[in-house]
Amino acid sequence: MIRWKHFRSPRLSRRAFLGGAGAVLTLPVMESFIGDRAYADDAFPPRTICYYVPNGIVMNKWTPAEVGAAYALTPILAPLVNLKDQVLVLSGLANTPAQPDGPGDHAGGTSGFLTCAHALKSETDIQLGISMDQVIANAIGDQTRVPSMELGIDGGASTGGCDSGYSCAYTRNISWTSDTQPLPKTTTPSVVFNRIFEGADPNATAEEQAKRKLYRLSVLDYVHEEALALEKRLGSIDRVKLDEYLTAVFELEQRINKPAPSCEPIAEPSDGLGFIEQLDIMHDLMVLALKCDATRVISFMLGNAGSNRVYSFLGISGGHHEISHHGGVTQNLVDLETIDTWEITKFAELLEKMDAVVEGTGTLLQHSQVYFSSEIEDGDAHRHRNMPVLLAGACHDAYTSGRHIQYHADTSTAGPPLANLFLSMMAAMGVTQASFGNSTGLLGQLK
Amino acid sequence: MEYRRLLALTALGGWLGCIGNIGTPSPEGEHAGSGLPLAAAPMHRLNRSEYRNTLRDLLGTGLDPAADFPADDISLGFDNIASILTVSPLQVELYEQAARELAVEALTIPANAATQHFEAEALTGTVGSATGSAWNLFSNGEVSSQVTLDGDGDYVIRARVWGQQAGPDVVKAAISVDAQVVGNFDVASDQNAPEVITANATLTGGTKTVSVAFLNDYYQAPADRNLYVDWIEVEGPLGVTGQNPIREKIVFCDPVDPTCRHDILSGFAAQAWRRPVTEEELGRLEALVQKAIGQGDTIEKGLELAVTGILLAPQFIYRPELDDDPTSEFPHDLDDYELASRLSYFLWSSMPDQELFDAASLGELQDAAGLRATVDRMLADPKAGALVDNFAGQWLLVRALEDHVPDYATYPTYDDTLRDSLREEMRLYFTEFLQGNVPLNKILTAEFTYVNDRLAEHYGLPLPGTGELQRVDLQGSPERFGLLTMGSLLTVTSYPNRTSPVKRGVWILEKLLCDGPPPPPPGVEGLKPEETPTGSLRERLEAHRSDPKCAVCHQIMDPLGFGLEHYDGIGAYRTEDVGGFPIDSKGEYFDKGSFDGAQQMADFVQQDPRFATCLVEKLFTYALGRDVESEDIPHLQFISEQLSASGYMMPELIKLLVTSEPFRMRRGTKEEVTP
Repeated sequence: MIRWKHFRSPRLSRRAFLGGAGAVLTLPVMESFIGDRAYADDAFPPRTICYYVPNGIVMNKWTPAEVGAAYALTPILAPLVNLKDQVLVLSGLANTPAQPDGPGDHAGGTSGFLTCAHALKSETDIQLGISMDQVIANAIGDQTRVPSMELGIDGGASTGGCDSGYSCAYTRNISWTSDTQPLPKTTTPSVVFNRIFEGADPNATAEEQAKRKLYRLSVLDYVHEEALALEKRLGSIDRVKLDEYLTAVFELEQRINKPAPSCEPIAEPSDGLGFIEQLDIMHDLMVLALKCDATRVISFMLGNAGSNRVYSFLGISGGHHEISHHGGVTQNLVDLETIDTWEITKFAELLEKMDAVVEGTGTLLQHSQVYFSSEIEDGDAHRHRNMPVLLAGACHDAYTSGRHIQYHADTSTAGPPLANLFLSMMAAMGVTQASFGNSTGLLGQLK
Repeated sequence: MEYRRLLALTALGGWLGCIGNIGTPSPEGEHAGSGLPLAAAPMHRLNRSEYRNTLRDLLGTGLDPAADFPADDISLGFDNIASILTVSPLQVELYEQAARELAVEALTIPANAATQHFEAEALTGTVGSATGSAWNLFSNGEVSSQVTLDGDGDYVIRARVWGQQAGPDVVKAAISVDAQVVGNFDVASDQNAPEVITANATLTGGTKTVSVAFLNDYYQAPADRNLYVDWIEVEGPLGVTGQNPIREKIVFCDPVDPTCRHDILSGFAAQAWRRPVTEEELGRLEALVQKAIGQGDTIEKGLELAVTGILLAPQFIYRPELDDDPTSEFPHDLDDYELASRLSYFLWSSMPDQELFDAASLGELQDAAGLRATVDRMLADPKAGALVDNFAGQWLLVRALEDHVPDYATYPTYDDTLRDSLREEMRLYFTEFLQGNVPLNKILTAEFTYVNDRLAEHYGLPLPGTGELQRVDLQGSPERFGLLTMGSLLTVTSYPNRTSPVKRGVWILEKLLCDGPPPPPPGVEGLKPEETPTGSLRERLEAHRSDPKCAVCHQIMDPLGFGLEHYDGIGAYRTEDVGGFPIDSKGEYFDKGSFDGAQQMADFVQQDPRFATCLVEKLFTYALGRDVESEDIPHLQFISEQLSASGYMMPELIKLLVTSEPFRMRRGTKEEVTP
């Protein structure tokens, strides 16, 4: 068995494939193995994107009536028409740990979105769990320049409470590297761009690049020493703080030693764009980051939890969060369906962009898994079972796509844990875990 | 919060006897601790606005790296709470990039003069041809370039040339500017050892033609005399120095000299780290400088590395506070410089200035009188505007104005001008309290505000006749009387298309009384919106009071919000709500009595003893960057009493806070404490 990690194609051919040299080489289709899985197109690793939209979905316009491959696309899912065969619609999964203590479903649901953990209800004392994308990043992140990227549109919320006694950390982040440490999102396109191309200067000579790298490492080495000297003088609660710093410095040192991304950069994006332009640019940057192998794990938040964005360009006048508490009012439900359909339209655009990147005999989309969901199902009922879930991309044939699978039709009780899906998603990335969150095993019927 | 019960107990309790000694210097002039236990405080990372302000004061940089930092998480209503300010790998990446860019900007030596360089083989001559890396003038003629001169002054023109010698005479060349010869030369060299010929000229600015001419061609086969020109350079105007004010502050002598370099590094690091630097630390900085030397680069490069390191080090990013014994929980005084930093980050959200550093070094901050005098000076400094932006900005939700988007259909008059005016009104209003012009306990009913024409129109007040905000007396306008009727607050406590009595009630409870309601019970649906309202908002919220499990909290919260129902979702006064139903703003204030309208409700709040203690608590939380703990209660109790006795002026509150033990002292933590 050849493990993925140690089997890499020669750099020249990778560069060619990733769009750099312009020459197209055909690699023989080879088989390599991760765990028990065989991969075709071994030059292209599997990738994961986790895509979050806030405030839930109108479920009776989402859940298809039929199961299997012959299901009819519902109104909200209609924009996926050209990609139907590459998407799995998964119904009936439950994320029970995301249920908060009392109200706070947005904080509970968002913090539990990729962690399947139950957040400690506090404004100052954070306690959650590691998120599934970070479990993957911990295992494979050292193979890329950046172990993972956390992107979004909304930065920090302004002041005011975040959700019923829960810290704002729970509502603004879906990726958690540990029980207590969220990974904040990058929301500025140029910053994302720089992380992908990280100081790689096409005009500098190899010698200049090497010296630049050496100097950066010297400075990091220096601050590392300063931190160690300081640590000796600190009490335990302060050492915990400094530890975050030391870990981050170490990770940056690792990152600088990685090779530069092997593809042609696009023009550097501008900042200060409107919402839709920013969303489009973020989608482009996600595709670029994966294509250039700058990272293989991305999480993305279309908005923060409980986002009250006014979708005026869709002809809607209330805030999204407020409308999502529809109370059965017809106009609200119509508006919500409009918003949800728009969200899927944009999501479909991302998938199409991924499908347009040729990788060997397949595409970037075929080599990836893209998870789409929200922190709750119905925005009024605020439930955490029967979650709206899409899994796009077969991830090197880990999944048999193009179907609707109903795991638990009775919406009054909880079906299989969402964590089981995450366990399967980890396996598709070659990361074998015994369990995750409240998982009970791998999720069935996916292949 | 539990501490409120403890507050009641301490009013009866006996440890008030010790409190009189807090803040009073002992006979030796040293501050004497009361021996009361102190809460622990984790190390404080500079938040985004503190980082930004610190760069402004340390360097005066034109860069703003903080604009790309992720926003700080908010807790307890503020974004400067130490326990919540974590450092992610992304954050360190951004710090590192910022440090590099700031170091380059800070140390750039501006060019003395511009040098323009032209490779001759790329030029065109009147005769000859390009040969390899030069232009071959094989008969009399010249090769020229157009040059644009920045201004009048002295210039140096150089050319690298060699000759192909032949015949009795040496190759002769001339340099000209606009056909005027500025230098004649004998070029004796040949291609094995080219020479540089140099001419000086005083020229005017503008575009000129600079030429190198070959004067004495000779050809007697096979002897052939030629002039080869490799490049032409024009340098000037000489003596014009660019300026880098940042560099001038940091590099005040020649860094090539080791003693000077030592002083440069210790001076800059001490400013950046807000305390004197040890020889060990300087040793490590010098070693970093030497890394550049080892690579064959100059001292300048080494200095750049050192400055980068200083700006990335934890001593800059955090505000470390040290204990002689980090495992001892016994309180001790903060070090002078640590105290100076606490003061400056509290009042200015930035680093200490030179005067504060000097006061620290002279030990002037170790007694209450010195601290109080320092507070006065710092509050008078424009940098105290940070308290308005950051403390009031968050406590009074002014910052929330940025993200709040009222529904255009419902409130078509809301625009950027109105929003900016509302924000400025709050800032100017609060500033009066900060300066001690008006007692803090009158903040709800002060009967003045600041309006411009736009805002006056919005409020139904007489127009002051200008777009600038002016202070106006509200004596004759019963609808506006203080904080609770200010548009900014009323707007951010509403939904985009309607008021929210519950949000407003909750704001009053949480931010003014520090007694926020517990969360609703599970299974609560929230107000069902109606296509056509069947009653006023108040009537529709009746369910809160008819259902006993809701009533227990809502009978307290809702009336406070109803008291403000006359003010719509963007703070304008009205007599009917959305459906055309008349507004009823009567209510009960807890069990204290009834009110009719906002003014009477505000009077109740203002007289509520929780209001005064809440003010103290909010400022304490902001000043210390942590929650109030049980150990703080006796100190807060003392502060509240002193504040009340002295007339409730905010500067006095700040002085009381700053001279209290929780502010001036700290302690370590036992090893087994796991945070």
